[in-house]
Amino acid sequence: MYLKQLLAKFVLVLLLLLVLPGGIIMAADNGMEQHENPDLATQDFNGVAILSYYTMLLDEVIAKAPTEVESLLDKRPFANIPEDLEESLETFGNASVDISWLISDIEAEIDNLNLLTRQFLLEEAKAQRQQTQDKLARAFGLLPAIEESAATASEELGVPLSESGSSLRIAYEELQNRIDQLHKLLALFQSLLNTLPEGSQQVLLPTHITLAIESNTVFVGDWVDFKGRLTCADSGLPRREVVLLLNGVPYLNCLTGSDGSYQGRLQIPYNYVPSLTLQALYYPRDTDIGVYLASKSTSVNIQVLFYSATLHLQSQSKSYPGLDSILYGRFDYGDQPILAARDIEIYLDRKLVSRVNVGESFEQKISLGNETALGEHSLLVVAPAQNRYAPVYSETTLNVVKAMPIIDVSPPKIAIMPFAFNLKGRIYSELGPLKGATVKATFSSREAQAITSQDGSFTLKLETGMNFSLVGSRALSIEANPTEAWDSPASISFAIVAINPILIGLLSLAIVAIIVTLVNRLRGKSRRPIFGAIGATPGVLAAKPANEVGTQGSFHTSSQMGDNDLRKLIFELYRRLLGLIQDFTSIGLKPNLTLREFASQCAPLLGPAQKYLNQFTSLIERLLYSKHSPEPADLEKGLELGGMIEGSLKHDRT
Amino acid sequence: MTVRNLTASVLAIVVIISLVSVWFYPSIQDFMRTNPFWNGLRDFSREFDVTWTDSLSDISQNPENKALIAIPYTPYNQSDLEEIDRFVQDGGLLFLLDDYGYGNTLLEQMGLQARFSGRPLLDPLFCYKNQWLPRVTDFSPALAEAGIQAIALNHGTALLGVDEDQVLAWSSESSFLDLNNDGGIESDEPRGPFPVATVSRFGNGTILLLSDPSILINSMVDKDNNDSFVEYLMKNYGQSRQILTDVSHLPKAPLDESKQRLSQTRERVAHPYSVVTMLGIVVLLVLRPWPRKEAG
Repeated sequence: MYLKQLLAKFVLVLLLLLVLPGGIIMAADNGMEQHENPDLATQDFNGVAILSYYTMLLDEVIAKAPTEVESLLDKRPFANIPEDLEESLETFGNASVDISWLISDIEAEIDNLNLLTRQFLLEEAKAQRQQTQDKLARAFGLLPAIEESAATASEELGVPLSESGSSLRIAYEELQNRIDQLHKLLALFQSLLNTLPEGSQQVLLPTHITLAIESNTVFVGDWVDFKGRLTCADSGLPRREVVLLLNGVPYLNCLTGSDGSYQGRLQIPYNYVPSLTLQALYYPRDTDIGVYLASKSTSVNIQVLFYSATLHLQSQSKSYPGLDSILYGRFDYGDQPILAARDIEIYLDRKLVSRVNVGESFEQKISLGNETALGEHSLLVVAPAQNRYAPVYSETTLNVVKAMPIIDVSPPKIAIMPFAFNLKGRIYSELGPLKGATVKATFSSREAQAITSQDGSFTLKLETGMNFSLVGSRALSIEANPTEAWDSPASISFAIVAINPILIGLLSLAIVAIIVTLVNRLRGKSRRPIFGAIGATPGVLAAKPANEVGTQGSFHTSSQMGDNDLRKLIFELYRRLLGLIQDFTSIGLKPNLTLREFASQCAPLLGPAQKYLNQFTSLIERLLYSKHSPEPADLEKGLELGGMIEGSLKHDRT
Repeated sequence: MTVRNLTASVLAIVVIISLVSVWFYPSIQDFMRTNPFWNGLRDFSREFDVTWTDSLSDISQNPENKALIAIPYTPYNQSDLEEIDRFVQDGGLLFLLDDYGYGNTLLEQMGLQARFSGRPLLDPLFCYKNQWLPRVTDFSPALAEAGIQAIALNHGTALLGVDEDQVLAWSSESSFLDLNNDGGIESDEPRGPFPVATVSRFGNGTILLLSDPSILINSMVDKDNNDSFVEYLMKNYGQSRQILTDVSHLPKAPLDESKQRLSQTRERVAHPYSVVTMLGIVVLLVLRPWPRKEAG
């Protein structure tokens, strides 16, 4: 048996150990959210990113990389783009792919056209020219679709409503810049095509152009010396216009000298991209058309240098509506030269609020209007490009709150009604005292108001009024409504013991009067016997005059009384007697007992009164169960027997 | 029935109900195999026939036949680090998924240059619903040929210090690392593309790194090509290996602890030695001498 119990206990403990959980093992709390429910995640579109996607597509078009354009477009289904924009983007993407293939073909065909012409394959050249012209026309025909799609994107993403200088506006301007470059590229192709012969009998002379630059590593905005020579059969072509292509797009024109050489300076554009390609292009114009063929130099790579910085921002932990906030900023240039002063633009919630010139570190006031909404606001600082310094921007948040006033007041602990009491105090917040604030105090439905002074202090007299409460806790509430936008309304309440001495006095008097009356009445009742002066010596059945009984025993035995009156009186007399006996004997008259049975039960405790009770019970039974009409003598007998019983019981008690 | 018997019966019923509840009530804790909700790993566990292990002490046995999936959200102790190091050196496949956990401790132990950035990788353009759910669309040729077009991450990060030829997947050019965790892109914040998945040899084994373990949770595994991506990695690098998932470095709720203990006990009870022991006890109880009843 013992073994069984031991085993059962062991199993139970084992099971409990299984069910009881161990300590909670938690991952390190590094403030990073590990994941969110993707099905409940909020949909959030980024206009700048979407416009950048359009720009990226055109960048690849201009770079004559059609497969890259296709590859980028293939990713479109995975881009987070509003449904309303999908059709427009599809049109834009398809046009970009088509135009990129066309540009790639056109460029190759123009080179081929030159070759054919050099080889005097003029018929093939003519056919090729027509084919290229058709493609160029198709390319020009695709431009409106690109422009319209870009305009649609601009509308859908709210570019027209955005501030000038905002990141959305800048992204759209970048897109427009790429569309312009595309226009220029197609125009250049058209110019090149125009120089090629239309007739089949023309013999064109091939040309050769070289290009060299002074330095391959330059700072952005710097000037680069370039030189080269345009020749035809080793002879220089004088006074010919040479086009310099920067990243494939026409950038600068210059004229060759008398020996066909050309030179000049070009400024590296402030694009802050790490590298550029430069090429020289000659294509026949005016009288050269039909004489010479176009030629392009080899590409020269330029490494572009520029300074970059990081911008660290810090806003005040709290800012207040109607008050200036301070924004602290610092440019970190690393080991690069520090810029003594540069322009910055400050945007509050994407709206330009300030444009100033600052040093490496700066403090800038941000004015906040009275109506500035409470909560977090975006504060964006943009430092535009400045010479060799690339643009830099940074964002922080501005936490706008209202100062919570403190109502410093010491109200009395007790208020005596209906007397007034004075209230003195001071209201201040973390920004200083509240001047001119309205203070309203409410106590027991009475109000009083005051205006705070320059130091925020106030004094007011508050009536307590009259009401029906005697004593108790009542709320004293004080509200402060500031006049300044940066302060928040405040309130405070206290529990004060209110005492109403007048009402307490009146009530006390009333209570005393009631008690005195009650005591007197109780005393009087205890003195008065039930059967009046009938009470006689126990055991002696003495006859009493009827009129005496009537006055002291409250019963009238007038001969004029009817049968019913007499019957009622005798029964009432017996009922009172039964009550007296029940009190004396502690035996209750149960419903199932007859009067006689009750009398028998009480008999052992009644002593001599037992025979009087039996006689009275017989009298009652006679009145109840026989045809006997009650007579005044019956009443007198009842009174006599009652008196005897009462007297006997009193005697027994004593 | 005596009070003692009644108490024992009630206690036994309570314990049995508790055990049944613990067994059947699903977990809601992140990455738990019994969690059928959005953040659990039930679907992944079923699809890949994953074996769950709460101890790394025996993974070094036959490592060439094992693939260990590790989501290190609690710190490793030195013996665990050494055990995993030995496991991979001896030919095991380690699939380390981490974003903001303790994966770098393991990489340091192994002397690798690769690191989990530990900063959020956001992509405002290529994303599912918002930038915290970036979509990765650039893959190594082998993955692209396998038809993987995009995988969706969920509050993931990026990998740093990896060789280009080890990279299996890159985030897009529009992605960036949100260093200050404000959700906006600043000029000093690094721009994409960033590696998010790599494969490299280590000793005789292989290490797969993925910068977001959330790709495996029930609500993410069916997004884009996440399922196919994981399947490709498992088939290509862990074919015919037993897939073990280390739960000892996952944060657990009390319910998960109880479930784990219950599961361990069930396994132990089902062991032949335990069965023989229990049979022995039963036989002993049945054949023991009966106490004599006193006459009268």
